[in-house]
Amino acid sequence: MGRNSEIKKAIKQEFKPSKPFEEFCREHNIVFEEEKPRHEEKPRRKAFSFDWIKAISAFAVCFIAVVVMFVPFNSDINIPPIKYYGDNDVTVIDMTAELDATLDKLIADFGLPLNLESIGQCKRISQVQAKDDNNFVLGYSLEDILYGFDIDNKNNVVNNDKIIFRVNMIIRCYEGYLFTENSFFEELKFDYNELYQYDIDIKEDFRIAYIKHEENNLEYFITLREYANITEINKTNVELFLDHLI
Amino acid sequence: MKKILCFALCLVGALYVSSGFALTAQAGEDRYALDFVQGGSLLEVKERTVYYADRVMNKYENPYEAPTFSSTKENGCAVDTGGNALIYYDIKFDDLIPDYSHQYIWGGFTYGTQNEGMNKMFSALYDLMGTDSRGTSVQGFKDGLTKYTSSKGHTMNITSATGTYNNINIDFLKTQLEQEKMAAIFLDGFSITPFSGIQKKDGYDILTHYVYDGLHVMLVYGYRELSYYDSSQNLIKKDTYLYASTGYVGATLGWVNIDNFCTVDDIYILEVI
Repeated sequence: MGRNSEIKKAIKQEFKPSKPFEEFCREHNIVFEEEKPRHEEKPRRKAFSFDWIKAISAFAVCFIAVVVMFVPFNSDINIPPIKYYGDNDVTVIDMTAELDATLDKLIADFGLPLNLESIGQCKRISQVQAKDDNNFVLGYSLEDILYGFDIDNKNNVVNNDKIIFRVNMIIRCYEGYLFTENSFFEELKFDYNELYQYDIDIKEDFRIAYIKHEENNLEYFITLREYANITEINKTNVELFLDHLI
Repeated sequence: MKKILCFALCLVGALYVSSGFALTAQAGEDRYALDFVQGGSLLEVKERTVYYADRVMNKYENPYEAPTFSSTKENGCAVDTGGNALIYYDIKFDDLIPDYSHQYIWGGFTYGTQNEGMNKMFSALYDLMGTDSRGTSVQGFKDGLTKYTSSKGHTMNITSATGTYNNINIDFLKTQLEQEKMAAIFLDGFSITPFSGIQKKDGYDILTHYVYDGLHVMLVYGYRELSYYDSSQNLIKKDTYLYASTGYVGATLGWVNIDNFCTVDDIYILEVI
C-alpha cells in the first residue's frame, strides 16, 4: 500500500502543470468566447416549448376549419339526419274557432307577410304537429284566404284597379315537414327582388301560381288561384301581389 | 238443485248467444270514419304517366263549388259531408241553417267563415246521424239528414246513383251534377288528386294520386273526364275524376279518380226541396 501511494504522488508531481490553466492562456493570448450564463439558456428552452403549443393550436384550428368545410358536403357526419313528417305522421289541430286571435299571433310571432286589412276571408287555420310529439309544431296552414287590394293603375298596367286572389299558405317551421304539394315548390322559374321565387302553372282551364319565400328561419309556401275571374294569374299580377306583401 | 243449475246454465247460454248476435249486427254495419283532421291514413303517393296522341276533356264544375267546413268531431266525415251539403242548399233556402248566410266579397260568391250557426248545425247532425267515435253508418247518414231538413220545414231527397261503371250510374250522376245538385260518395279506399296534380305535357299526362285506405265519405260537386286516344283515334284510356270537398286538409277541394285506386260502396244524390 505504502508503495502505491508513493507511486501516485510521483505521477501527480510529474503531470502537475507548472502554471494554472488561466494564467497559461493569458500568457499565450488565448481567448475563449465567453459562455452564456446558465440563466440565459432558459429562454431557449421556453421558446422551444411555446412552439409546441403553437403547433398544437394551429393543428386544432386547421382541423376545425377542415371539419367545418367538410360537414356540409357530408351531412351524415356529426349532424343527425333530418326526420321527415308526411301526412301520416302529423296531427292537424283546427284553430279556426279563434281565427282573428290566431292571425294576430301569427303576425306577432312569425311576421306573417300578409296585410290584415287585405284579408276578405280566411276559411281555415290549422296548426300541424308531429304525431309523436305534440309539443313539436311543424307548421301552420292557412286555407282559402280571399286577399284583395287596390292598385294605382294610371298606366292601365292591368285590366282592373283591384287585385284579388284566393290564397293558400303553409308556414313551415321545420324543414322536415313534407306538406301536400311540397314538390310543386321545388323548381320555381322566376325570381323577384331576390326575396321570392315563383312559377305559374298554366292548366287547360285554370292557372295556379306557386310562390316561395324564406325569412327568419321560416319558409312560406303560397299558392294563388283566381277568384271569380276578377284577376288573371300572370307575371304582372303576381308581381303586384308580391309588391303588396309586407 | 239440479233445476236451479240447469236454469242458470240456460240463462248464461242465452245471454251469450244474444250478445253474439248483437256484436255481429254491429260489426256488419260499416261506419264511415276516416278523419283527416286528426291525421288520416295515407298509404302512398302514386304517380302515373299516360301517353297519347289525342286527348279530350269533358267537364262540369258547380259554379258555387262545394263548402269545405268541418265539424272538427273525431271520425266525423259523414257529419262534415252532410253539413256541407246543407250549407250549399242554404244558398237557396236561407232558413236551413239559422244564423248563417253566404256572402259576396268583392263581387264574388263565398261561403264565408265558419260561425256559431254552422257549429250548431254540425252538432245537431252528429246526434241525428247517430255518429260516435267509430263514425257513421250509411243509414245513419241518410236518417240524420232527412230528420234535420224536415225539422227546418224542408225535405231532403236522397236518390241512389249506384250503377255499373265502377259501381256508379255515371250518366245519371253527371246529369244530376249538371243540375247543380250535390252527391255524397261512400268509399272504401280511394285517392285524392290535388288540382295541381294533373300535369299536361307534350303527348303525355303526369297524374298524382294520394292513395288512402279506409272508409270515407265526401261531397261531390262536379266531374272531369279525360279520354286518351292513340294516333288511330282509338280510345286507349279514360279517367273520370269527381270534384269533391274531400275533408283533406292539404286539398280541401280536389279530385277523386273513380277509375284508379278507388272502391265506391255507395253514392247518393242529395237535394233539398
